[in-house]
Amino acid sequence: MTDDAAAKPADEIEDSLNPIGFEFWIGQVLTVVGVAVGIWLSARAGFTEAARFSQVQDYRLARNTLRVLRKELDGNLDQMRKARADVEKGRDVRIQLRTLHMETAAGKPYMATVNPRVVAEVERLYTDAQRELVERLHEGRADPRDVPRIVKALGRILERAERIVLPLIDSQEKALDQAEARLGEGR
Amino acid sequence: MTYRVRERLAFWVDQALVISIAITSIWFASRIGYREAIRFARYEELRKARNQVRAVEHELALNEYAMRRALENWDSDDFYRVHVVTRAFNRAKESDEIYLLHPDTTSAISDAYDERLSKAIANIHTSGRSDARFIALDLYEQLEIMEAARPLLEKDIGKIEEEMRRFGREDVSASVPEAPAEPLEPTGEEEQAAAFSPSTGWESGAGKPYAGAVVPAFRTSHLTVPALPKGPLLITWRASMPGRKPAKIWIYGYRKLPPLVDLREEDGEGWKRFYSGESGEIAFVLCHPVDSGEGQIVDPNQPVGWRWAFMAVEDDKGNRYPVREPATWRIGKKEDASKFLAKPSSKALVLPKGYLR
Repeated sequence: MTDDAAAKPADEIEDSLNPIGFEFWIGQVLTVVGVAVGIWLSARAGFTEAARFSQVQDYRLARNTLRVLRKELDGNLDQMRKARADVEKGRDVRIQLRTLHMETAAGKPYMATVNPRVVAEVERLYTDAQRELVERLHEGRADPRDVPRIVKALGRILERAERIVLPLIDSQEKALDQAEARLGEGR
Repeated sequence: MTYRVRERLAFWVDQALVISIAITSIWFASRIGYREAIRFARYEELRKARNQVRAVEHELALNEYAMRRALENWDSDDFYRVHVVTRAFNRAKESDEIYLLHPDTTSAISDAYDERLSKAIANIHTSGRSDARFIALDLYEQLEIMEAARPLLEKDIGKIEEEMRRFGREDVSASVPEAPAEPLEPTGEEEQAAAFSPSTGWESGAGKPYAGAVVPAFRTSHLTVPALPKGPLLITWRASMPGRKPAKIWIYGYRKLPPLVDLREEDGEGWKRFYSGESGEIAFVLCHPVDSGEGQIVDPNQPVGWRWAFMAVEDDKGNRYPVREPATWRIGKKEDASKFLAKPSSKALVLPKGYLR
């Protein structure tokens, strides 16, 4: 090749040096294809990541909602414990069941990721407490004939809360944490 | 053209191509980004809808379980404290994704949570034990509507997930089965009744055409009785057929509420089909000779293989008369109507185990 080049005149050599040759066009085509594929892949990956993020967000919000629901329940259970003691001792009872977080929780779309039994059980506790305690009080005082019934009913409600509802909320929180971690690991 | 000129030309061609690639890339990226954003919005809509429908399905399963448990024993705490929750359904029906459900599905769930259900539950709290038998009838009917609605929900969930799969992501939800409840322990009397030997003389009447007369004109709502599913149980009956001699008692066991309401009073053919055991989801048809217009039947099966029973008394001329207000009872040591307990008499007929199917 060196021998051939040496044999050719200088202007002929210059003519043969073309910078817009085959390689130039191959380079341009590869750039175009690379950019197009890159955009397409990043859009696909963006879709997957967005879907994953959305799921994680649902789990996170649901877990936070469960936490406030649990706090509200703890507060209400404390009130019920105190009310039971007050009813037994014949004192005036002051009770105000708070259901704000339960009401809000039930309306949130991300709560669809939580077992509906959680809200159902909490609602059942509050309904029973309302029926067995709040509705039987007259100006904060229970009719002496109602006292054994109220005490028994509150005992049953508290027992159900401790045996079924609180562990259920804990297990759901754990399940949400695990689901979130699984999504993180799948990356 | 000198090499120098060609090199300059190559430089400018390269620059022009870089600019056009950059412009085209931005245009392409925005187009594809827009398309992917729409795909994502659609996928997200499907996912949210699926989650909501799954929550409705789960809630329905939960309610079904509570109702079934309540109907095991009309005297139990489970009955008097039956709690039906409709929050997931209420949320779903107001959501923007409700259009993804088939209209039949939304109607079925809406029927399941019909006002009749809330009235029945409210009645439990207001009228207590005195109306429990009638409330149980309503609850049973609502339970069957719930049971029919769940497969429709599953079908819709399947369709939504199929559509989600087209987006290249596998995200399948599954129904969460309720942990089985501890079975109710049989009492001593129930254990004894379960061991009763079947009466001889039972005959299967399934598929035998009825050629007798049809007595029209009464309300059909009082002609069936729901089972106490755990078993064994006692059925009491009394016929109203003045001037006729009872010859046989017929008992029709159904897996679902028989379509009695469809029978118009004047529709003799419908009644004939009904007496022949050709209507509804029949579990068994049995008959036994009797010589009295009232009696008791013990079903010793555990659990019982039917949910509703219809009874008819046949006279000596082969005409059948429906028994009005047959009643089911748990088997107890002594009679206690307030607890739905009754003691079988020595003359009570005993159904065969497995109902001669």
